[in-house]
Amino acid sequence: MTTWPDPQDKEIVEPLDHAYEHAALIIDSDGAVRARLVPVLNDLVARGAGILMIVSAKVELLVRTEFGALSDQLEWREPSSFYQRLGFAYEEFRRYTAEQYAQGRRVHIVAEPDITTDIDPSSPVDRAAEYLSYEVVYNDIIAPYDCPLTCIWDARRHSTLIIENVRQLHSHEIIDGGKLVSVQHVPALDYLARRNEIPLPPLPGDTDLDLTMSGLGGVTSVRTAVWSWALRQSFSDAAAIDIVIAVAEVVTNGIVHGAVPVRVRAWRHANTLVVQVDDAGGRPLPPIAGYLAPDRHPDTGRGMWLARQLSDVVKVHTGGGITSVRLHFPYDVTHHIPVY
Amino acid sequence: MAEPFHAQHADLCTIRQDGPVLRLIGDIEQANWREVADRIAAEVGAGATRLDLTQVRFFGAAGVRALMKGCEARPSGVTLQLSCAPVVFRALQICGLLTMGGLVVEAQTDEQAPPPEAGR
Repeated sequence: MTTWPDPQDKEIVEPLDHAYEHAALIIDSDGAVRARLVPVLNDLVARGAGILMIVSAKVELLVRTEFGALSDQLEWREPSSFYQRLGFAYEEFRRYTAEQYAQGRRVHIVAEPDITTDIDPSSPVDRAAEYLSYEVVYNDIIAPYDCPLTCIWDARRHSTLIIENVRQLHSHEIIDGGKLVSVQHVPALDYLARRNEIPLPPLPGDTDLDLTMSGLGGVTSVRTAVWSWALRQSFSDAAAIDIVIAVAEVVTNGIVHGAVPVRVRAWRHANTLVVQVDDAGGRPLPPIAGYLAPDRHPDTGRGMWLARQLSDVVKVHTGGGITSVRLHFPYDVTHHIPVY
Repeated sequence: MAEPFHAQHADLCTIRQDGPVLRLIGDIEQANWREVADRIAAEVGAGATRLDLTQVRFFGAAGVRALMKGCEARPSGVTLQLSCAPVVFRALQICGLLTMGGLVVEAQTDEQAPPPEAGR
């Protein structure tokens, strides 16, 4: 059983301390943008730092208004180019920072997660809450590339619980005056393990697919069934193939690393296709499974990585002798072709 | 042209050698990846320099492993050219393997692509 760390022990550490800077900048008004973000940018511009801005149109307008022509010294990217399926968004940042590091560049990234656009309000999962699992991993994954990351979270768009978690999952918080405050953040493994202890919401009474496999010989028939089902739900062929690969990887893992029988159920919730894979192994998945980009060794596991990349949200839970992995494929997000 | 790939899971993936080109047709998954890897290794070790993966219909983690294991048999100094169906290219891209040393990975063009039927 994992445990939460002691309550936060915040300490003013101005100027910057030497820990990797993955900072939360929480705003609740336009004034907060001016009070917290503008001083940070002023400091970076004065130091001639490279700055990548991936923010909402509203924040961009505020910054451009404040900085005038100076704002052209910042590099601007459309949020939609980064924020796609959650796994893709995460990997896009990792690859970008790795590339900068390889080129000897230190870029300060200011990002405002755009994870609610185009999502059906009746989505069966809270994408913001799920994205926080990736945020907590950033603390370890991006640190070696030495590109500070400042994440803007708008308290007007997210629940109090989300914002409180945002505070705990970043290594720093930026407060008024652009001051950087160190946060005793939650370790990634602890957070992810706790997330996996949360039971999944109940399944619907009726599902479109309900298949049970006793071995690898059944994987092909599952692929066929899932592919046909996705097409019947008006998903494109490319999107259906993504779904098939993600499901097949989880099914294969259930058979190889869990235990048979492995059961696959699939249903539609509003515009989201949902597939749950249960295996009888009853062993919890490693909390970090699917979060670490695989290395180039042939024997490295890649199944959960592919599943997390190709789906939008993956929820995992073990209980009652059953290990369950639930994959979510919102229509719009699943049809957004990745660019990395 | 060599004999088709005969193995326990021959119905999943057929492998044919056509001169320096090794053509894989079908699915690579957990059930057959070792056999596919062994066949790729044997043919690459014997001089095949091009892998035609444009008719591979299913390719995930097991496919990546089969390909990487098989390509380990590449003689020193030899570069292998991989022509990939979209599903293969996508898996390699997601796994960060488009720039492996000794391999040139190319995506199949739309003109080369057969009608979509993957997944079954």
